[in-house]
Amino acid sequence: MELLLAITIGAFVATGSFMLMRPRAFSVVQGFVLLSHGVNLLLVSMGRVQLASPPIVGDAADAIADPLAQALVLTAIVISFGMTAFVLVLAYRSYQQSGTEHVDLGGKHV
Amino acid sequence: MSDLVAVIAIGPLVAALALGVCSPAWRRPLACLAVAFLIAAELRLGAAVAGGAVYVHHVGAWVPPFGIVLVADRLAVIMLLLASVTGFAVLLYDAAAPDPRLDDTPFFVLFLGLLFGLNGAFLTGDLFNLFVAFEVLLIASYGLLALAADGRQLLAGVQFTVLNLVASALFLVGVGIVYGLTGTLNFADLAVKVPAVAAADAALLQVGVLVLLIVFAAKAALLPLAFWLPDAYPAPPVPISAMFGGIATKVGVYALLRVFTTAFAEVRHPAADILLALAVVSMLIGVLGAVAQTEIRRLLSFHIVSQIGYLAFGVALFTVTGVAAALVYLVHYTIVKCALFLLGGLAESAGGSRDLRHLSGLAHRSPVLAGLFFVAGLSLAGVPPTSGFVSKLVLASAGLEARHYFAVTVAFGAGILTLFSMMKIWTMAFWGVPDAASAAVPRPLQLGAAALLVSFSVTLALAAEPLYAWALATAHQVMDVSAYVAAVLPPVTS
Repeated sequence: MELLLAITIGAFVATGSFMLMRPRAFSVVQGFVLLSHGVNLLLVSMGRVQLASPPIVGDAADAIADPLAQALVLTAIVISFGMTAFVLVLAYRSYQQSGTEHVDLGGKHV
Repeated sequence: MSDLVAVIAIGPLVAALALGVCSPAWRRPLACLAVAFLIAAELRLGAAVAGGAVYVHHVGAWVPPFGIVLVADRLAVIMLLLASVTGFAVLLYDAAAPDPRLDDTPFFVLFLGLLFGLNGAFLTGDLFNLFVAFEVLLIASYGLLALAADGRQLLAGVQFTVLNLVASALFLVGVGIVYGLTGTLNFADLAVKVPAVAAADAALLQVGVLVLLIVFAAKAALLPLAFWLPDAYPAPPVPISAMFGGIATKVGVYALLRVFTTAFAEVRHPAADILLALAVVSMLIGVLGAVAQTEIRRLLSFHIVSQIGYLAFGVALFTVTGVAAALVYLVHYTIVKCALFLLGGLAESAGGSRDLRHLSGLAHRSPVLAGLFFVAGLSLAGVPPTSGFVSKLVLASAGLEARHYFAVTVAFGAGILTLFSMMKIWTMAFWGVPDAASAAVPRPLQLGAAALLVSFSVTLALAAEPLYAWALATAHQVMDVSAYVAAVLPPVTS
């Protein structure tokens, strides 16, 4: 389970980083989405990987899942979701207005 | 008093929401009123913390380390005041001559949102809420940057957005690592638990701390993570770029200072050396970039990189005198930079061009503008007897005390180049024969907004002694982790 999670996070981050380096705005946004998925998985795994254990200390449970890491990742998911929506709109507007999807300014000032 | 902390933290959000629903005609006066109220509240809080007290607000009455805390000490309050004062000057400038491009845009809502993010970042007592405050701040910045932007400016906005989003993702990586190893994110609790981390995990913790260093360096625009700034900051209308230039990048410096002195005081060793190297590179390369520019606000934007280098130099010393020097520098520089952006914007509109090569003789058209720019420019360059001289002097003496001779030499050289670039603006835009083309003459209230900031800068120079005494006391408080921990964490009662 841990190995699978680690490989998944690594794949997300590696693919995301590669896509972020692409010159086109849409690829960059996709890269950001993949990267933030990887980071969110990392964050949730930092509360330790526990299966079938309650998130609170009970009498019956001898292992507990950390609820705080899950609260953190929930916030992070909401934020990255909103950011993705915003950056998509921003990229689309700049594509409409400048007619190019390239994120590189080509050395020219704005 | 700790309720006042909560009011200051949440006030801008309430104001932003109120501005969102009120009639557009009321937005401008209400925004000014809200910021004036914030300044009053912060002055009241400032008087309360001046004696060295630390006020802690437990959000929802949850006791740390489990609950969210808002912490107000001297450092937090001065940052709050700087943000509100620059914000007020910018609003005043905007009220004097409303920019038609900002009509019918949610400018004021986003502006108050920016202040909400700033206040949250300055007051928060834990790492995850610092992340959340950064995101709030950035959402507002992205919005402000995209207001009134054309295609190329939007593209600069996309670069700014993407770089900051990547930095935010890295922030979460750092937060995750630190949380996984210590089980807490509260600064005070981290200060207790970081030294107790098992030796086997020390290297991983170090990685987490260095990731956070990268994040804060990117937010503060330290080289080599500053390439987004010179395109993004001059692009929006003058009030927005003055607010960005004045306070926005200082959040990164504040985060460096707070996190590396309080939470990671025990494990900051390689981070401090790296920070010092980044500071030296930023000081020099930033000013060299500025010298090559021919647009006023773009030149000033390159100067931000250089000046953030000075600030990071003071922080990276991690001595009481170094931190005190950084604080003096921070106060001086925030005010002067905001004033320069406002004055640069006035010069642009008075001359009818952004490009220095098309500007000439503005001193004839508006002697007051020329005079204010002269004082602010000399202050940025650090010529005596301005506040810039005082702040560079204390920084240099702190650097010499810590035996960083090379860095002090670079700082000195960068200061000379700063003077050169300010003279370049001065001779090209203000000197010479006035242009025949008629253009806007600065309104008195616009000049007044900038004059307010310039007069603050002059006052700082005159009050150098009490300012430094205050900075030293604040630096002692910042470097004294045990007092912070005692204030935030309740005493153990078992």
